[in-house]
Amino acid sequence: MKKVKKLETDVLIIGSEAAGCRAAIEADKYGVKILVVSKGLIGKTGVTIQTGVTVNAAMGFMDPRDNPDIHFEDTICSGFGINNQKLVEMVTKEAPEKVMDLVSWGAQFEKSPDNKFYQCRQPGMRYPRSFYRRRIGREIVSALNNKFKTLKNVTLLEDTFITKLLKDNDVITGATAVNLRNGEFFVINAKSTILATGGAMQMYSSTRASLDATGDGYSLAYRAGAELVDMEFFQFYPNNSIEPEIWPGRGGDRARGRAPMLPYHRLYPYFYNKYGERFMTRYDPLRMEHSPRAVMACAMAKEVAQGRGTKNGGVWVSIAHLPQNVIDQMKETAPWARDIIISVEKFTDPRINAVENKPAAHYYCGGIRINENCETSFKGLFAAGEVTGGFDGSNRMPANAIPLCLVTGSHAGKSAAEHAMLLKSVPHNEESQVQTEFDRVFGLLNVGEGPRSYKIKIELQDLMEEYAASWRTEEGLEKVIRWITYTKEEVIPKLRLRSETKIFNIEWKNALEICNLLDCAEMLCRAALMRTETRPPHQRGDYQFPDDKNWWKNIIVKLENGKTHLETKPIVTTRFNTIEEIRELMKHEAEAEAMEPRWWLP
Amino acid sequence: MSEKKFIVKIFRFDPSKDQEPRYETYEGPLVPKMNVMEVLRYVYETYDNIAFRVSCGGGSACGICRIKINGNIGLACTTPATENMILEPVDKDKVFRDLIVNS
Repeated sequence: MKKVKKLETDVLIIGSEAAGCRAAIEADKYGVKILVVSKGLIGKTGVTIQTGVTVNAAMGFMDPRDNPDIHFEDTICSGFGINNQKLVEMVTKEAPEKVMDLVSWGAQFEKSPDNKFYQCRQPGMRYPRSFYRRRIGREIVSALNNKFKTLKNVTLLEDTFITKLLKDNDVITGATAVNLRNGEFFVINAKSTILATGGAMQMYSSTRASLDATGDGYSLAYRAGAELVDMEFFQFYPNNSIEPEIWPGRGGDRARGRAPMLPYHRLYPYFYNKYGERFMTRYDPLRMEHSPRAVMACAMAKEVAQGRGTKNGGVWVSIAHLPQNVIDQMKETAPWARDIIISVEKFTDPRINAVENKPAAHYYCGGIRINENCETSFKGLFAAGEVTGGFDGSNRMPANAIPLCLVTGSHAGKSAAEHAMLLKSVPHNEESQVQTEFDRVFGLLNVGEGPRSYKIKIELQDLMEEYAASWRTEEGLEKVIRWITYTKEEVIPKLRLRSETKIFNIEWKNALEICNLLDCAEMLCRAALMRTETRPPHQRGDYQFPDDKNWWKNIIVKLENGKTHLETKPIVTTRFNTIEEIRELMKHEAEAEAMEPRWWLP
Repeated sequence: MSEKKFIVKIFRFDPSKDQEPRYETYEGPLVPKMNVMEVLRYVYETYDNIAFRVSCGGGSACGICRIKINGNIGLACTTPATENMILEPVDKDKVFRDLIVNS
């Protein structure tokens, strides 16, 4: 190995979107030297830009009864009680301030005629709480970027792929990176490192999420030996049309069954199985199709698994029960409803026909275990955003992702900067790690005949979709784990590329990404195998009931001596010290929700 | 019934080994409602390790897939595929590789 280039910085931030960008903004206040790394281009990478229409902050503009305490309770209920309550308290309390920061940096949200911010109510919310705007992701990204451009101590490295975290005993000292523009391998030494890399939705074939969501951060933390939590909980968005193909191409790749996401449930549709039965009567008779996402996704998965699904492996979704003038009026008064109905009308008449529908991988609820300062189990390593675990519990409440990114982002930025200020000099790592990683990364840059990275990804996605989505069994999970072990040991070393160029070698990048996805999938399957109960969206076909007595706790995953080590830890609590209290509140909220209608626009 | 085909000419240039840019022609099945992004992915998976940018995967959310399609700048993910296409980078003087430019 030639001598590799070394960069030094105080704070290294991996990821440039909501969480990473917010962390940079916060850390900059301390005057420390910051390096932000993105594997693509800032503002155009990852999933923040895909944020659909809503962001939560309990400000009570529409209903003064709303406040962070209620937001806290709603989040715990949505997360089926296993949330880290300290994190929930922190995020719900600070969300209003952080969202208002975005407004001061230029984000615009819908306002009511009397110039108050409009807030809408979604499943799981007691009062209207979500700021609303079409393509709100763009507003968030451009507001953050406006602020980011004014920062004085920040260097931005785009098209740079972080491959491994470096360590000196139990301290993270930076990372190794590959510049995708020229293939250069280099070391970044940092006093503090923040992971803000987003989710791993690309594990599943049915997803609408960015192709960048390859779980890089989970894998980096896992390989370094950090603790991850709740890795068995993956959220599925219930409404995703398969047939007819609405919004063609929006799924990116039809051949893989990547269906476009259709927020059809906002029109209060009915779900039917292949026999025309409204199956939600059996799963949530109180709320029916107004049920939380996780419950709907689990219900759909169970219908399909037990042979009551449609021929394409989905269920029917229909608004044909609505009278025509009601549909027409919805089209007039709600722009989002008009969009959805018009999209459907191009392919079928929604007043008569149902749409075939299948849940899609939407959000990774689990992630790196952090405390309220966004510190991980390693000194010098911090995490923020979707890559963290604990806040969401088992199931994320709608519109809670951006507040999580903004609040944990700013806390991670602050903690990382303060940690960096305590150190006199930039720490250095043991050299041997760099050599090993260099060999691994360039071992993947081999030309010839052999397995291709994109084919392995398709195989993984199909297996995960079949055995590790919202219907899991011991047999299925073990099958996936066996395949992953085999693939890691036998297939990855034989991986070959079709060209050895070092300039934007997409296949090489995909090879690095599939290694990360395999780690994520392994953690997910092993944790899912351990949790012998059903807690939506984790549904075990062989353990179909919740088991609060044995499973009101978190599963921690970490790598120890080359093996995945699993253990359980008690829930971090503040206000609710027993699951009975939470179950009582959940019941109360479900009843209240069934009694009081939800609405999207006034 | 004969199946429809697309024939696509793609700008290829790898400054680390090519003297000059060239165009290569690929073909594949033109399925209904196919877009240019799907054509690129088909070519990538079937023929060669071509370089193009993709992030959100469709729906014009991120705008990273901006290229020149038959002479007009557009997003690969929202532009419908046609039987004959020429795909080029937005600025041929700033090419890193193939369709990716230094922006």
